[in-house]
Amino acid sequence: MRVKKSSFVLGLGLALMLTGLVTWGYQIARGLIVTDLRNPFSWGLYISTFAFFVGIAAGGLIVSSSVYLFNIEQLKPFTRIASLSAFASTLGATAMILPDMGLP
Amino acid sequence: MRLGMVIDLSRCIGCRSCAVACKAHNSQPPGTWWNRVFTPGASFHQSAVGKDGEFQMNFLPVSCQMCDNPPCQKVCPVGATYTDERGVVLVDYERCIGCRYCLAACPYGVRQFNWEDPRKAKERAGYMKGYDYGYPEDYRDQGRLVYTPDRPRGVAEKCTFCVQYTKNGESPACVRACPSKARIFGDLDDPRSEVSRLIRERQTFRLKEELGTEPKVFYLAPAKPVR
Repeated sequence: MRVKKSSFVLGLGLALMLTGLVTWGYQIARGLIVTDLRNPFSWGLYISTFAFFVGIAAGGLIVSSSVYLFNIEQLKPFTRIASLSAFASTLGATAMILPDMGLP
Repeated sequence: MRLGMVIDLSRCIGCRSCAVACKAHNSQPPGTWWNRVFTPGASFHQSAVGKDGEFQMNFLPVSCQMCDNPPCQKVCPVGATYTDERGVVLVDYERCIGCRYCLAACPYGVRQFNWEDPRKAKERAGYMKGYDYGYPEDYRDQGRLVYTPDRPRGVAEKCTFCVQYTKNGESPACVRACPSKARIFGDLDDPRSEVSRLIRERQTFRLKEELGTEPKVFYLAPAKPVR
C-alpha cells in the first residue's frame, strides 16, 4: 500500500500536537514550576516563542502588502503564502500566551 | 495619608529577624521571601568587606519599596496591582493572571511568583501534620483580595506593609520584630510623625533613586565605626 507523503506530515503534526497538549495538561496540573522558571528568571521559552511568531506574522504581512503597494506583478504568487504564514503565526502567537500565564 | 518606612542602617545588625517574621506572619511558602537582608559587597551574608585596607560590614534590608511611581503597577495588563488610599502598593490575587510582567518590571526584584501551589511547597518541607503558619484569615481591601494565607498557584505577590495589621493601626511584622529597632514606620504626610522628622533632619537615601520610582522606603546611611 502506498502512503501519501502529505498524510505522513499530517500524522507527524498530529503527534506533535498531542504531545504538546499532554505536556500542557501536565503543566496545568502541577503549575508553572515544571518549566523550571524561578523568580530571578521569570520569563522563558514561552514568551520568546511568542515574540518569534509575532515577528513572522509581521514579516509576512509586510511582504504581501508591499507587493500590492508597489504593484509587482511577478511577485503576486508570493502574497498568498506570506499572508497565510502570517495568519498561522498569529494563531501560534495567541496560543503561546495561554501556557505562559499562571492563571489563564 | 502616605505610609512609609525609614530603615536606620547603622542600627541594622543583619540578623534577618525581619525576614523570618515577615515570612511567618504572611504565610510565605519555602523559597519565597518578601523581605531580604543583604551584606553589600560580600558574597556571603554576615561577612566583612575589605575596603581601603579596612574592614567594614554593613547590611541592607530590601523589601517592596512602595514606590509612588510604581513600574509594576504601570505594566500590569489587568490592573491587579494598585495603590490604595494610603499609598501602599497591593496585589489583588483574584485579578492577577500570572503574566509575570511585574516581576520583569520591578527594578528591586522583590516580587515573588507562586510557581506551584504553596500548600504543596509547605508539604514538601515536612512540617508536623496540621501545622501551619501565618495570619489565618483572608483580608479584603474594598472587596479586593489582598491577603490570603495560601495564595493561589500562578499569581504574583510581594510585601504589603502587612496590610492586615496596618489597616488596624498596628505596625508591620518586620517593624515589630526588629531587635535593634532599625525600622521606623509611619505617615509621611504627617510632619510630626517620626518618619517625617527623620527624613527632614537626617541624611537619607533611597534605592535606585535615579529611576524615578519615588520609593517610600528611606534608608539612613550606615555610620558604624571602621575597625
